[in-house]
Amino acid sequence: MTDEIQLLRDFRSDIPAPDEETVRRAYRYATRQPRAARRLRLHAPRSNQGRILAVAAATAAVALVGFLATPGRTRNPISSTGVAGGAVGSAGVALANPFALNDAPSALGAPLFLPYTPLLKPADAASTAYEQWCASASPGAPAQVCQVTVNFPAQSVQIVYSVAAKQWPPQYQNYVTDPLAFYQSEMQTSTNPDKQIVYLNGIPAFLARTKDPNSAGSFIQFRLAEYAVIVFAQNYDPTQTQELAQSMVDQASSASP
Amino acid sequence: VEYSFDRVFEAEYRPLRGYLYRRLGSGEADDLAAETFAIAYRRWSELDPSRSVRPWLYGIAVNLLRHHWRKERRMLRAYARSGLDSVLSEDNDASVERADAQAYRRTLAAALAELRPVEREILLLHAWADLTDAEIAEALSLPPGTVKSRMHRARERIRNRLAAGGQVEVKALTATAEEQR
Repeated sequence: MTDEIQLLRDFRSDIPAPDEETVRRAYRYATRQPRAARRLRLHAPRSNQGRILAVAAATAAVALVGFLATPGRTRNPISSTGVAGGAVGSAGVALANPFALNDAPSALGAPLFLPYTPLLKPADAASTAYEQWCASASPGAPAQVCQVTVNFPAQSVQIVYSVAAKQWPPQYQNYVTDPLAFYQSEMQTSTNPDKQIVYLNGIPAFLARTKDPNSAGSFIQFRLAEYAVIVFAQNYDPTQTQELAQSMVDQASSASP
Repeated sequence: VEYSFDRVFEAEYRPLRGYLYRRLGSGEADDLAAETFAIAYRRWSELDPSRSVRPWLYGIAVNLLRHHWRKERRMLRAYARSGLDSVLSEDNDASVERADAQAYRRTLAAALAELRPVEREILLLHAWADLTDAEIAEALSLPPGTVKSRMHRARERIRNRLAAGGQVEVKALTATAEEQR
C-alpha cells in the first residue's frame, strides 16, 4: 500500500540547494536591522489581532513540549478518569478532546480556581472550549506536565493552568520554584515597555500588556496552589486582568484550610 | 535552550527555504525565506527558549505564504493540467523534459490545489517540514485538535483523489479513524 504522505514527501523532493551567495545574501538581509534585546518569555502573544485566544491555546500546548525533543506516545497518567480519551500527538503530548470543567480537579489532582468578578464569572466559560493535554519527555514515559485551558469567548479571555504530574521538569524550575526571581529577570530583559511585578495576596505575578499593537490586551502569570497560571485577556487592560487574577487568588485563599 | 540567531539561521535556513521552494519555486522561496529570517531577527526577543524554534519560524513563514496561497493554487492547477511543474522548471531550461510522465504527480498537484489553504498548509508542514501536530498547531495558531481533524480530512481527500486515479488503495476509514485517535 502506498501511503499518501510518502507520495507527498517524494513530490518536488529533488529541489536544488541554495548556493552560498544566496545564503549569505539572505543572512545579510535578515540582519540588516538592529535587533531587539533577547527576552525570556513564557508565552509570547502574537501580533495577529483577534487570534490571541487561539494562539494561547496553541502556545499553551506547545509550551509544554518545547523541551520534548523525542517523539513518542503516551496516555495521561495523571488522570484517573481517562479524561477525554487522551489522544496522543507525536511529540509525547496527549491531545485530549474538550472535557467538562467539573472533571478538571479530578483529572489534574488539584482544584481549579476561576475568576469571579463583575467582568467575568465561571459561568461565562465556554462549555465546549476546554482543552487539556499532557506532555511527557519521551515516548511512553509518564506525563510530566498537564494543562487545562479554559476559554471565555465572550470576554476574549483565556486561562491556562499547568500542573506537574510529580515534580516540575527542569525547564520549568526557573519560574516555578522562584517565580519572583524569574519575573525580576523578565523585568530586566523584556523589551515590553508596559510590564510590572504585582502581588496578589503576597503572591508575585508578572503583568504586562501584549506587544500586539492592534490589541489592547494584557496577560498575567503567577503560581496558584499547584498550578502555574497564565491569564490572557485580549480586551482588558492590565488593571482589569490583574483583577481577574486577584479574584482567583482570593478564592484559593478562602478555600484553603 | 538558548538560541542564537546565527545558529538557528545555519540550521534552519536551508530547510525552510527548501520548504518554500517546494511551495512556490526558487524566486519566491529566496525572498520569503530571507524575509522570514528578517522578521525572526527583529522579533528575536519574542522567542521562548523553552520551546522549539521551528514552529515559531514556520509560523512566520506561513504568515508570509498566506499572500501567495492563490498563486500556489494556480500553479498546482497548471501543473495538473499540463504536467509541467513551474516550481521545478525555474531552474531547468529543459523544462519540457520535466513533463511528468507519472500521472500521480499531476493527480497529487490537483488534489493539493483542491484542498482548503489551511488544510494544504497543515499537510505540507507535516510532509515537507516534518513538523509534529503540536508544532503545526503553534505555527498556525490553531488548537491541536483542529490540526488533527484537518490533517485527517486533508489526508482523506488526497487519498481519495489518488485512489480515484488508481494510484493508491483507499484505507478503510475505520483504520484511518483509529490512526487519528
